[in-house]
Amino acid sequence: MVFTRSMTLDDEEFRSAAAAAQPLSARTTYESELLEKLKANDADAFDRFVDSYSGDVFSLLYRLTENADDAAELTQETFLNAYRSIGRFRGDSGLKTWLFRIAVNESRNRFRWWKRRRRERTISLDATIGDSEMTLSDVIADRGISPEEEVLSRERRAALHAALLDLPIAFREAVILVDIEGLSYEESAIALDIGIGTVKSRISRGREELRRRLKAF
Amino acid sequence: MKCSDLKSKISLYIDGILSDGESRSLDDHLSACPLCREHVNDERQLRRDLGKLGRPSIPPAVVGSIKFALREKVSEGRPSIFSTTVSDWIPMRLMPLGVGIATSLVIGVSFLSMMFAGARSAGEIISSDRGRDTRIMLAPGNSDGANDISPTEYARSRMSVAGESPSINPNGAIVALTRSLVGSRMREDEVVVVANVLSNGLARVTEVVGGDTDPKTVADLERALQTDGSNTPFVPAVMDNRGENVRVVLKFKTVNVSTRTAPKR
Repeated sequence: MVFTRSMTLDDEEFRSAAAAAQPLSARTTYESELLEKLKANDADAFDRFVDSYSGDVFSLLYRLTENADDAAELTQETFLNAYRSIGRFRGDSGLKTWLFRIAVNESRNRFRWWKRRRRERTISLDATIGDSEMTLSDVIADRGISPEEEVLSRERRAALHAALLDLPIAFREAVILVDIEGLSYEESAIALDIGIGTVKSRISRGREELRRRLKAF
Repeated sequence: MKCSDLKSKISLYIDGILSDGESRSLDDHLSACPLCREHVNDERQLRRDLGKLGRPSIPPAVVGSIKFALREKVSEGRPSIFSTTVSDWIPMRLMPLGVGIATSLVIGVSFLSMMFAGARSAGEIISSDRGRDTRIMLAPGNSDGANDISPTEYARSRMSVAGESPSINPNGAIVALTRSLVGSRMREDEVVVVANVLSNGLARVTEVVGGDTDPKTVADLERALQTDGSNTPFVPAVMDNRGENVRVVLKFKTVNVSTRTAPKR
């Protein structure tokens, strides 16, 4: 998170000041070099691109869809879309933020499709995935958390998942990006293609809704 | 300060993006309001728990599948024959020419007019010597004359054949002339001239083949061949591994081709 308490400007002022200070999500040298090669249609660079960001994109899409197959399919669509669009990418944000924006759009399109189909689904954390014996709980198990850290209880995790899934999509997107994926408010605004004031509002209301739902468990 | 006024600010307070003044006000209120303190504590716990949900790992098969799909796209993504730049096509298409005193270059201009009414695009340059042809594609519609390949790079790519076949300057006057003919069909279907290519990259027409050739086309060609400066029609001899003077036959040919299929020789 890059915000500090000294940044107390309203949305418009904030955007101007932030833009003047330094580029949002300033690209690293690695990203700059990679972007250059991607634009040159370098096949090896696309491999590195996938290695570097597919995990993040999959994680985001998994949280947005709560379905491993959908997340896998949409992750591929996101990268194919990125391939088609890379020539027009001006580097105004980091590559990851740009990919997240594409991924969010892909998931929104899928969400609309689902709504059209009026398909209903319920997810059990104990349901197995595909032909494997792995359950949803196994797949979404903690990664990168040291044993010393407090681990969420199974019940609390299940409750959080259920509450997240029940959240209106606009709030869910914002909460997932900021609280789970760890994007800043600025990066989330770019990924969601909304103003930073709207991000603040959605985070506040999303967390409030989550708290309310969790109390029911 | 009322609790309801602070409700919407608690998230920003927790994330540390309230102003110092607003934070102090909220601190003051929290010290006196157990309900808001509970709200803050709940939300902090929620935020911690969300952060601990962890991130599902992408199955390796999915990573492989995406890489494969992208590799296919990258290989398919090679620009089509009509959108390829000179730099892509000249080295690829140019084949070694036979040995001879006279080198002939046949320059053909194709007008691509099938797809868009009235729109015509530049076509091809064909080099030939003793019956062996080499075809060079020009980028259609690239009328600004900015080619990616430099004369030096192009000449270097043809070192082995330049002795008998002078290298055309990819940024030079002959290429520009073919482009200038786009959209203005030549009066004749074919113009053939013999020219001497000089060491400095300029050339001089010595003979016009065929008695009824349009004088204006020949005059345009002569001007192009004698254009001085950095856009000489041919790469200068010092860069081109060839002799001081080489005789060439230049042939301009108009052909109509469909934009839907590659031009056949």
